[in-house]
Parts: sequence; C-alpha cells; structure tokens
Amino acid sequence: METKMSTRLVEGGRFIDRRQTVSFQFNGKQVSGFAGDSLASALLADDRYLIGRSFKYHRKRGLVASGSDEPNGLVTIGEGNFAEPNRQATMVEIHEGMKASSQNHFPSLEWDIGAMADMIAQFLPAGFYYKTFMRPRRAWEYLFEPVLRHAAGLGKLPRQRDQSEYEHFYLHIDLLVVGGGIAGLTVANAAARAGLNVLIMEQMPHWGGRTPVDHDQIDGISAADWCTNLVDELATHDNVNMLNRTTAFGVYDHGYVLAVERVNDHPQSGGVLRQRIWRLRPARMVIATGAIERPLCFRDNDEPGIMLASAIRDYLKNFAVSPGDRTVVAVNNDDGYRTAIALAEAGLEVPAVLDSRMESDGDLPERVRALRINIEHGRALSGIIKGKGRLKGVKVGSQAGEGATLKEIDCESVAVSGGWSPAAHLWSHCSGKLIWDEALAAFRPDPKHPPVNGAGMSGAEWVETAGAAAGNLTLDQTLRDAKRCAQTILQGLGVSGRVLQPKVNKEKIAPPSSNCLSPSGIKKEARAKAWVDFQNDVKVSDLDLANQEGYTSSEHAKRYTTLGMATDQGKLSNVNGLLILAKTRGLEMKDISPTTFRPPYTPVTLGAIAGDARGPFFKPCRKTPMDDWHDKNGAYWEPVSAGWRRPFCYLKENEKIADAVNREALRVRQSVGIFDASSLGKLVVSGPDSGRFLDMIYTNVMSNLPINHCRYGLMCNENGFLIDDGVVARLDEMSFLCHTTTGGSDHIHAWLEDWLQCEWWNLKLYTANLTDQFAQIVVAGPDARQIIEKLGAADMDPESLPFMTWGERQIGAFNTRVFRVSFSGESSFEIALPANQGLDLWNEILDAGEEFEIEPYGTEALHVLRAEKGYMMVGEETDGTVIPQDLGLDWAVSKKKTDFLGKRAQERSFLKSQARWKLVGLETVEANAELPIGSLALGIGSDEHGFSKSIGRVTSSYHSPILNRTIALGLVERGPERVGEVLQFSTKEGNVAAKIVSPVFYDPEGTQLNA
Amino acid sequence: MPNQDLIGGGCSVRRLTGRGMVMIRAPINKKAVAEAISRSFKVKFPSRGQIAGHANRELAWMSIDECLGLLPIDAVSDCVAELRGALVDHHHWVADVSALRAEFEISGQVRDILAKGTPTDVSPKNFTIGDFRRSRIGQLAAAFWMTAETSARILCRRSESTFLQDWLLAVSSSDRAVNFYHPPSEH
Repeated sequence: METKMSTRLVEGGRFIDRRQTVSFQFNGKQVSGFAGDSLASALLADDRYLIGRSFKYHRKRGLVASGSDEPNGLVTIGEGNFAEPNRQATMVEIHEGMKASSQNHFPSLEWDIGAMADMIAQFLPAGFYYKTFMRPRRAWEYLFEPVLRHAAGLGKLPRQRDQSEYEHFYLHIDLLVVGGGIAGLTVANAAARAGLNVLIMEQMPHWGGRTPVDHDQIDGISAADWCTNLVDELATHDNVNMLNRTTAFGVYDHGYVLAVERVNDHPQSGGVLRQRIWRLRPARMVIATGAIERPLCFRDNDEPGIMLASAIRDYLKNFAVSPGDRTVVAVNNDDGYRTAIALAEAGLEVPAVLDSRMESDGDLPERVRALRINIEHGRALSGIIKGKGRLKGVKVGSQAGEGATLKEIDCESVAVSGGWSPAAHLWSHCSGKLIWDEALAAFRPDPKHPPVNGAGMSGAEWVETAGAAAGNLTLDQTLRDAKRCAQTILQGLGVSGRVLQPKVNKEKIAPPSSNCLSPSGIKKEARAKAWVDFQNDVKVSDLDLANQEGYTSSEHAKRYTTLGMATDQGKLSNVNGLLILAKTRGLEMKDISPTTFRPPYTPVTLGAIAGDARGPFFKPCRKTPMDDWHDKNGAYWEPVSAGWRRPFCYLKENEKIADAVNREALRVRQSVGIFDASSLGKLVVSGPDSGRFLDMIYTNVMSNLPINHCRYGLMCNENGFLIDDGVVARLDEMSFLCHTTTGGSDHIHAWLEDWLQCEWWNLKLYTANLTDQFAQIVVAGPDARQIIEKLGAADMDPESLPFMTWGERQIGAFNTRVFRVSFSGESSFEIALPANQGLDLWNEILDAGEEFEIEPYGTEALHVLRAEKGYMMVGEETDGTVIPQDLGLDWAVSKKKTDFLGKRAQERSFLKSQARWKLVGLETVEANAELPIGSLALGIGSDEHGFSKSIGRVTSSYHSPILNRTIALGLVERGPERVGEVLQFSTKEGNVAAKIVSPVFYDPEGTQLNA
Repeated sequence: MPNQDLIGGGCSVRRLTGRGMVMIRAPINKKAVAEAISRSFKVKFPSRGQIAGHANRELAWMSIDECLGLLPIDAVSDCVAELRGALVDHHHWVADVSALRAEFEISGQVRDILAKGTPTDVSPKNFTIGDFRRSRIGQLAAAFWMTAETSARILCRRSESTFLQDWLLAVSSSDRAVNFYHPPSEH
C-alpha cells in the first residue's frame, strides 16, 4: 500500500480545534478539516497536495509556503456569481459549506490539456511572444491573440455584480505598527504604556508571527505563552487597537498608508460587509513585517511535495499536518535545520539534511546532530525521483559539481531553505532603498535611504523598521532591535516609557551561503527545468536568455522574463533571480540594484478599493427641489453633468420617448410649458471690482450692464476656446448673478476663484456658488404671461418687464426674481425663489396653468426648441476646440476691450482663419431623413491617408415637430458662405444629402420671443 | 420628511429643517471685522476651525474670509440687514443662504460614522465640541461639528441631501459597526 504523503498527526496543532469539524468542498469533493484550519492546511491534512496548474506550462503545482508568500496555491472561492478567483489557499480560513476550486486547467486538475505547453516548453522561452506570431501580420489580431488571450490569465471572473459590501475607514493615529510578531508587539506595547494611540495590524488570524513555531522560550516561559501574555496586555489598553486579518498593502506620499481588513472574507449571497480599507495617516510607522524564506533552484524544484522549510514547520506545529513520513531537508543556512528538529520531535523521519555549505558549526546543526540526524555537507539536490503521480525521492549530488547523481534518497517531501529575505516591500513602496548585506545573504532596508515622506518630516523620522524586517534574523537580535525601535519612536514623539527586554538564549548562527543554485554548476538542461519564479513560470534558463539578449539590468530582466510580477510581486523569487543574474554577469550583489516593490503587497479586490462607492452610492446624484415631483410624473431620467439628473422627457402611459418629446416641444410653441431649470449654475460675483473682473472673464462687456438688466455672455479659456455661456443679471451696483450651464456650476466657480485667488488677488470682490439656494422655474410659451398674471404677479407686461431684464416680483405668496430670458424662442419667464419653496410654486403654476393645458417639458424638448432657434449649446456645438466666432457669436466678443481671457489666443492665425468650420443650419433634402450627430460632411477628393476629405460635421440633430422635418446644426468649412449648397453627409445608413441654411429655422424675426 | 429620526444600526439620522443660514464674506482675520460680526450676531467669534455660540445661534469659521451664521429662520432677514450695517466700513458680502444647504443631526457612534467618510481626524484628541470641519464625507463636500460626544451635525449641499441621508443610514448599519471610537451599540 502506498503511504500518504501528507496527513494529520493525532496530536498537536496550535491553531486547530479538533472538537469542531468543518466540511467544505474542493473541486466538488467533500473534504473536512478542523475549525482554525487554513484551506491549505486542511487540504494537506487530507493528502491533497496537488493544488493548481502553473501559469504558462500548466505544470502540476503544490503548496510551497504557508502564508501570503504562497505563489502556487491560487484557488477560486465560492461558485457562480459569488466566486472570487486567485485567492491564496494559505490565507483562506475554511468555513462550513465553503466551495473552493483549483484553477488554470482543462478538463481537470489531474488531467490538463494545457500541460502540452510543458512538452513544447523549449519553444516558449521568456519573451517568445516578442519574436513569434509576426507573420502573417493580420493573423495576430484574428488568430494568435485570441488563442493566447484564452490561454493566458488565471481564474475566471464571476459574470454578475459582487453582492458583498465594502467600506473605508479613515484614521489619524500616533503609531501604526505593521506586523503582529514579537518585534511589532514589543514596539506596540512600549508605545501603549507610554500613552500613545497605537494601531497594530497582522495579516494572519493569529498574533505572534513565527516565534512560537521557531523558538522555545522567552523570559523562562514558552515563546507562545510569552506572545499570548503580550497580546493580552495590549488588549487591555484603551489607546491600542489591534486588527488581525488585516494587511497593510501600500505606503504612499505624505505618510499615507492603506490596509485592507478581511472582516467577513468569503463571498456570500449578499449584503455582508466583506472587507474594509483603512486609510491611515500615522504620525509614525513601524514596519515589523518579518522575513520571507527563499527556495532553492534545482531541477524539477516545482514538484508538489517540495516546500519551504519554514512552511513545513508551520503546517506541523500550527495545524498538526505531517508533510509525509520522510522529509529530506536541503539548506544553504542554519535556519532550515529547525525543520529537521521539528520533524524529529514530532516523531517523523528526516533521512538527511543536505547543507550546500562545507561546514556548519552553529547551535542548530549541533542540535540536529544530537538528534542523530544525518547531515551531509557540500551536498546539493540534483533532481527528484517521480513516483506514480507523486514525489518518491531525491537525487543528491555535490554542490560544487554539475549535477551528477551521487545517490538517491527515498522521501515523501522535501524541505528547502535558500535563506531569508526581510519583507521590505512597504519600505520600498515610497522609494526606500535596500542594500545587500553579505553577512545576511539578503537585501535589507537601508536606513540611510529611507522612504520619501513629504509630510513635513524626513522618511527617516517617520518610518522605522523592527526585527526581521530590518534584517535581524535571530530572536535575540529581533528583541534588541524592537527595543531600539520603540525607544526611537517614543523619543521622536516626545514621550517616555519602559520597553520590554526579555531574556532569551543567544543562538550561535553560522553565516548563510548566498548561492541558491543547486548544484553550483547546474547544467543547461537542468536550468531549463529549475524554477526561479513559480507563479510566473520563470526558470533559470529564462534569466540566462535575458542576459544573453542584452537585458542585463535587473529592471530589464524582470520585464523580459516576467520575474517577480503579478500578484506575487516576487516574494519568493525576487532575490534568487537577482542572485542568478549577478552570478551570470560575474557581478557582486552589492553592484546589483534590486527591482522596485510596488503596492499592493498582496492583491486587493476592486470592490474594496471602490468601498461604498457602488450601487446607489456609485456617484452622488444631485436632485432639484422638484425632483420628487418629476419622478412621480413620468420623468424619463437623464444623468447630466455635475452630478445632476434631469427629466429627458415626461412619459405618459404607453408613450414612446420620441412622441413625448414632440408633444412637449409643440406644447411650448402652441400654448405653454413648464421647465425645471434649477440645476443651472448660479454664481454671485459681488464687490467694487466685480465689473472689472467679469470683463476679464467674459468675452463681452459686463461692467456697463444696467441694474435689472440681463446680458448673454460667453466665457473662453486662455486658449480662446469657448467653455461656458449663460445669462448675467446685474443685481445691484456691486453685484452680478452669473448663470452657468448645468455642468458648469462647480467648475466655472472654481475657474473664477482660480483667477481671483492666483492672478487677480488684488481685486476686491467675492464669488459665491448659490446654485442650490434657488429653485428656478421656466414658464414658456404664448400663454405663459397669462398664467403668471393669474397668480397675482404685477407688472409682467413687455413694457414693465421687457425681454432681457429681470425684476423682483411677488407671485402669490412667493418672493421671486423673474428673469425675462428665453432659450426656447418663446415668451418666457424664468422664476427664481428659495429652493425650499420651489415645489410649492411649481404646483401653483401647474394648477393655474391647467386651463391652458400646461405641461412640463424635459431637456430634449428644450434642445429641440433651442435648435429650432439656432441657439448653440455648450457641449453640443462646442467640444473644446470651438471659438465663439465659429458659432457666429462674434457680436458677443468685444473688440473694444483691451483684454479678456482668450483674447490673445483668438489672435492666432489658425483661430482667425476664414477656413474654420462655422455654424450653419442643415436641412435634409428629404424632409424626415435621419442625420445623426457626428456625421461628417464629405469634401472632394481624399486626404494624405487616403480617406475622404471631410469639411464639416453635424453637432445637433432633431425632429422639429413644429416644422415637421429634420433640422440639424453643424460646423462646416466656410459654412455661412455656402448657404444654399447641398452637402453629402456620411452616415452608417449611407450618404445623406442636406442643404446649408441659416441656423435659425423658426421665427427668425423673434416676434414670439419679445411678445 | 422633516425632523424624522431614521435609524441606521449604529446611529440615528435626522434631517433638520427650519434653521436659517447666513453667509458672511469679509476679511475676518481683521480684529475689527471679527468684532463687528460678533457684536452684530451676538455670539463670540469662532477661532479658526471652530464653531461658537449656543444651540439657537451659532457662528462657524468657514475659511479665512468666510463664516457662516446659523440661527432661527425667522431671524435671518433682520440679521442680514444688521450684518450689512455692521460691516459697512469693510469689504464684505452677506447673504441669506438658508436654502443652500441641508443640515443633519446624527446621534450614536458618530465618530465612527464620520470616519467612514471624512479624511479629517475625528479622534477625541483633535475633534471635540466646538471644533468645526469643512471637508468631505464620502464623495460629498460637507461640514460637520460635534454637539455632544454621541451626536454631530452635518451640512451638505441641498441637492445632495438625499444621497447623504441614504449614505449615513447605509454605513451605520449594525453589521458594519467598527466600534473604534465607541463601545458596541446595543442594537
């Protein structure tokens, strides 16, 4: 009978509760584990060592690590619409009924057709896609890319909306400690006792980090108990907050840190807060993120069953999972010996410790010797022996050699340790530099080149590293460093307090080797099967190729090979890759600059980043005082700019949109309509210099506008292009009310303030955005005046209140301002009153207008009406490249003023050119032909690219119900000179002929308007 | 719906109506200006980032040249006239903006609720009764201040008031409690 590779031991397991069984599914099969198991530990305990297929070659992969550094164990949690791909099995806690599945295979994990890629691996080296698929050229788009796209990528996204909820939480705090190991806990404890507000976070569910697994005693009690005591004490401090399952994933400018808390982290059927992003502004930050173990690079080192030495200890001690009866331990440092000790103490067999170094006289090898475990120095793994679908043994060669097998050892698993790298990612995110420490055989944070802070202090003051993250890899060093760090922090924040200095045994540790290649002279064929980056399927031979092709710098080699990319960000592979590059190029490691770690440290879901800005909170919707009325009266909503929603039209039962628009537009022309114009921007400019200021802002003169008069004005930017328009009303000697477009209310206010504060700060005036203060109701049409008068308003006749004036009027119970302006071409009254009274007046007008069959009209009818009158619309006729003169608005551009924004730009030859596209009306030859917006007018001949010449475009196009024909506005080269000409416009349905006419289609004399 | 309590797990939300607001623009960093406003408004002039006064009549520091008066709606027009008179010797602009903004009162775990939306520091150390912040809440521009340890007021644009109300209720639902600044609520 074949022995199981991995299994659950009958005793032990710090994290598991054997009284509570938890059942879940993996690839549809029922598996059970214990409460406290990670998905990884539960699968290993069930002898499910195969967990996925590799990214490129679809090789069988098993778990390598036990934490957030796991490169292979990417699984999908949940199913259907509630599935989330690419979760690390090591970071998923099992829960009852959970459904997990492996990825990147077809039809099954065991039999994967994609594994053929491995057979042709020699044709798919690093950068193969830069050299292949070149010909035939068109095949890239139609054949190669679709096939590659299908083959590439990991996991499948759910098709439906994520039902979980997410949120953000902002926090300013004295001290943020990232990492809940002994270094972080020690610093947090000292800060807590000193009265600082402290937030400490740990990515795993448990506090204490590696110490309880790796070390026996602190201060005369077990390391695990010592950690528990420390955590318990911390929890008693009111000024301390502890977040486990929380990963600080990014450090940014100005001392800004982001972390994600897994509150309820499994996809569910909805409504549950799943993750919370902490947006942190700590006065000080401590990076106590520990270190990450590196694997060794030897032939077939990606075989399931080969794991990091530390991971094997973790599974053994934390989850009582045996990796197999016999485990060979292969190391280039002392630390890996801990695994041999742990296995032996658990009663498992360690056939040999293979140490690539020629000697090891540290305390740990001594303990291993005392356990009578066979240590072989100068030895390397030269390959593996594959059994029936699983690891059967290893081949042993000499480290100095080229890979000849000296002997074979039977085993079920292999523990490898290629040394430890401080987890310096957060240090690097904001430009903190790393230096190579030969004694550590690792890059560690360089205190001389700390992250850039920018929040009024140097990065060196703001951030400290502590413990293993700083390169202190022994217990004794870590605790001493934590004390140093705590003292620095307390001093920096001007407080004092006692820092723990527990007693620990000093371990004698021999220097590690920095050689990750096994053996040192590993030959070409083996290099092509020796993996450096498991997640991105990068092999030693790929790095050789990058070097050979001239991609010698680490940054180039990374991009050429994809080493250290994707979700993994090179946690296991980065340093090994650089070691190999240095060796190939004959360089010292100190001469190699490491690639930059970038946020996020571990993947963050898009949902968490969006936070609560989803669904109804995706974007604030601004509502006018009459919004509710519109909604109840058939409004067909249109989202417009600046966050507003406005009725496009009001639909009656069974009415089509086009019919409603026609009905509303006709009603205004023939009797009366009511329109909600409350979203129009209303900016007040007030002060002795307001006239002077507005003369600079608008293209025409505003300073001489008489009180109670209105004037239409245009605003251009410095480049001369039209940015906004609207009616300006003079309120009093010092004050103007500037109406902007709906979309302009905020940004035009900001525009005014920008010029006022930065350029013309000496002008005496104030601006205020009063958009929301007023409801604005338009009553337009031949019967409009009668309705207003019926409501009791006096002096509404054209003599008392002529077109383009305004006056304060009492309408019923309401104090209002009535503006005689019109965007419809009809006799029109624009009534402004405090927003909270808007709906009441709206209703009174509707009641009074009933006998005139008054109806509300929406934005589309408004557009039809203004287009019939040839009024341009900012955003329709303009697109950021149009000047007022293009639109026939020369009359609104002052020639007398010495200066205004845009004046100088409009002097440029291109803007003065007579050949510019100018506003015209377009009458389709066939009265009701469709002439879509954006259709181009065809010129004669073709341009330098062989395309037909275009000499104009349609900017607005509507069906005019009053004229019963299609009307359009457009910009046409020398348009006004060509009135009468028929142009062909290219549309999807073929060419459409239209005649150039005056843009004013309706009532050119303006009789209706002035009535 | 005016003055109705809406319960959202960790807090209740009430839209206040009937308060008047006066926008005062003037060089308030000048002592004479601040004193004139204070005398006219009958409330101590707030220092930077502060709100001064009492429940019915408050003066909030908005920026280096702006403050906001909050008072009963019936008193607004007199107040505007008085302020204009008091500031006649100074460059100023005073207006009734009672309909410009919406005012909410939230009570419950208010620091936690605010911290879900505002990047400002709402810890007891830096935000207590008397402090007034102009910042944002979620995607909305907002101003807020504490009226008690478990209640706060918020101003936002009138047009965004339903959004803010819905947002406050959503983020204060009990299954989202952070219990960071406050003990767990009884819900």
